[in-house]
Amino acid sequence: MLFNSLEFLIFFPAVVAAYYLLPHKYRWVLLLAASYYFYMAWKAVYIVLILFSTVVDYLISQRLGSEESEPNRKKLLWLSLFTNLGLLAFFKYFNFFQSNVNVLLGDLGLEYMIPASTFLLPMGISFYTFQTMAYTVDVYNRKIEPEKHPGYFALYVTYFPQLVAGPIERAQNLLHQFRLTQSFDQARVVEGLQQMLWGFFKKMVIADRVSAAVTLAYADPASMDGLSLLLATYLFAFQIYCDFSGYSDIAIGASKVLGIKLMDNFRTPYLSSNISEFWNRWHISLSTWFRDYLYIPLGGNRVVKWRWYYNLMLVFLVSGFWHGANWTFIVWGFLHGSYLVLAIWFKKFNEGLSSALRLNKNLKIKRCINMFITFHLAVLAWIYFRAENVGEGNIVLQKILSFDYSASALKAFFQAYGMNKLLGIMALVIFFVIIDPFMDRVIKQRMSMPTWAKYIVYPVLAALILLAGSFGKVDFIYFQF
Amino acid sequence: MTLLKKALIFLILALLFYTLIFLALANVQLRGSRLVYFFDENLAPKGTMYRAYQDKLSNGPFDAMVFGSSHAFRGYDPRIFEEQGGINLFNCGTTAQSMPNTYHYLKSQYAEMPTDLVILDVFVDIFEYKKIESSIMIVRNTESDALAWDIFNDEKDVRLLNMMAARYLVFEDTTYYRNPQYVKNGYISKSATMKTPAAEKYRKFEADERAVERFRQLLDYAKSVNMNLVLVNQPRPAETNAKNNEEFSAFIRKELSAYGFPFLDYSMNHRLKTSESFYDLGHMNQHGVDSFNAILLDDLKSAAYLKAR
Repeated sequence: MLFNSLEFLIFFPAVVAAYYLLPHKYRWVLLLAASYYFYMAWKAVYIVLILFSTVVDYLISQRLGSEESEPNRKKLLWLSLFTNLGLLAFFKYFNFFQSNVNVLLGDLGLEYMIPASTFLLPMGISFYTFQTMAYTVDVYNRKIEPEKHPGYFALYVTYFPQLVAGPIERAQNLLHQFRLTQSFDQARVVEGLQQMLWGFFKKMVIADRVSAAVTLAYADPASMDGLSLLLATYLFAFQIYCDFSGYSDIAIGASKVLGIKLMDNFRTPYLSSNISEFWNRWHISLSTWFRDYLYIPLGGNRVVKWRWYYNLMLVFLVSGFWHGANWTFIVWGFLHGSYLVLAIWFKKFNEGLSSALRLNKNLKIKRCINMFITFHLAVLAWIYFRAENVGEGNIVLQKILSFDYSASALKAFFQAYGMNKLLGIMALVIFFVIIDPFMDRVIKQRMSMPTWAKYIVYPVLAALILLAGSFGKVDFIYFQF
Repeated sequence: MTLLKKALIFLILALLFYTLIFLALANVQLRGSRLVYFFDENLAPKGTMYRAYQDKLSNGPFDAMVFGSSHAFRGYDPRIFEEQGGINLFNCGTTAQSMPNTYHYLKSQYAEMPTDLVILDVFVDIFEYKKIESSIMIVRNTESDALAWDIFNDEKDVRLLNMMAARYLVFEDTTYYRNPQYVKNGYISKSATMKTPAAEKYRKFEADERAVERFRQLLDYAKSVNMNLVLVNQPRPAETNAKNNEEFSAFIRKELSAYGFPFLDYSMNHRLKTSESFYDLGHMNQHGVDSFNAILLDDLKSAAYLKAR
């Protein structure tokens, strides 16, 4: 079920009403049933995968809790990892490997071709497998006690607000909250609804409206000019941010309405002054997952330098591959890993340059310059994230960097999309850029706002959704990951 | 303050701000266009249907009306009906007109302007359309508030809200998009031809439930007012999937069996060549329309569906 659908508009209030009417001891049953229904509304049969993953990790975690022998505990951990990664590999990556192996076989002159899998990619599989793996690893490391109650554990795996696109929650944060008796707190419910509204605004007014213009430019980059592609890439930077952070806001807000706090996932990432900060503010639940379950176990930065670089590159290559079974995502991950390694290499040079340019005395200007550079590094990497394949990504990059700019071609792009509609979209994006930091402070940092302002800001957001929102059922980009 | 009270105030304020913002954007122009058209991908100035309305005011009274989708407004030429049959025809076809649209539009038009003959152009898609393109166009263009509200209520789609708002909040709204292919009385002509296309693949005909319900309501209404209603499935290129088309025709015949309205099925029963008479898999060009309309007029006369003039 999509958040931006009529079904959800009926489903969510019904779940909330039933949740607060039911005695606490039955609420987990309601949330679990609602979560399964939410997922099955997309494709019922794939609930089997979630059930399988739930049962395997529940049983393994129970054994891990009682098993004392370290080799046996390790075997159990590997069994869990093998099961979860196996599901992911089969449903998400099989065709990627199949097509690459077939190319290789063809190059070797062999006629045998591995047939492609016809299974659909199960929605949210990357998210719930990572969530359950984190749980098993934490039980293995004795950071948490295994959850005895199968119902609460199943709810942890499938909790509907964050099931299909995160935030990827940790058991320490989420599981115990299901046990707390939540009373109806009007202020908290209103806060949750306000965050949902902001999420809907980002998704429906910005991301979905921008989407068509980006698609038009990226459909055949070879036929486009550099300026149109540059504009489309900037627009994509805001499309993906609004799409994914919009989803996160709706998920976090919906959960807040139910009294359950989910972790923050975005904090105005485009205002970061370096790539390291960007990753502390973009898809926080994933970047901290990779930090805790891959980067630190690899040794993090407490190793020799080359090994540190290796750790960084590996984490970002895996992160790229997590996003999708395509070389484009691997290139995207490679670029981000390279940015971080280069930032370490050139740290002293940067400090020297800042002091030579006297930027250390004017920190605001220094921060603005760094923000500008960081934003553009992120935009550069988005090219590959959006391109259909690496070849097309190269074309986009080449056209942008070679200044193959033509005013008449840009005009033709505007006309192909609809001159006024594209100008409208750009005005909406500029409006968003202006209000996003303010809304972030209000919603995430709970900056106080005068009551009269609340009676303007939120109704205006709702009015803009009605007036400029896209009401077609457009999937969230991260559903495919 | 209770949550319910807060929600009510929020709703009222949201609608108030919506109205104010819409009003402001709808009545300020930039680059020759109202600003509100910049912000809604569906909202646009009035178009061909509004142009046809001007013809309706000046060219009536009419003897016959045609309803349907683009097949209708590109398939029935008022000039031929006038010249060869002495019939003043008004074409009520609109892009992607779905059966629910047709039901409301036909009722509204017939009540205002009962004609001797009503042609309902039918083909597979009008029972399968789930897009609201046609509803948007009718709500945006029709002169009848009642019809706009009927369609708005029937669709229950928030995307029509801006179209409804435009009806009341866009002042001095007389400019419209002028289609260079527009001829008269709602008819649009195209002279292009096509290369022989690949044969259409079979897809099972599955009528939308609401479309079937409105179709039955339309037939009930036609019966109740003694409407001289003729259903027509116009010629299709030879590459059209015959099985799919036959499933559809069988469906229409079955639905009509209780009513007795005639159904003239030319879809596969014609001698038009694809390369000469069609410009795509769904539409005839002017050459095809010339031939088809002449045959249709003859058949209507010989079967006495049309009064001799």
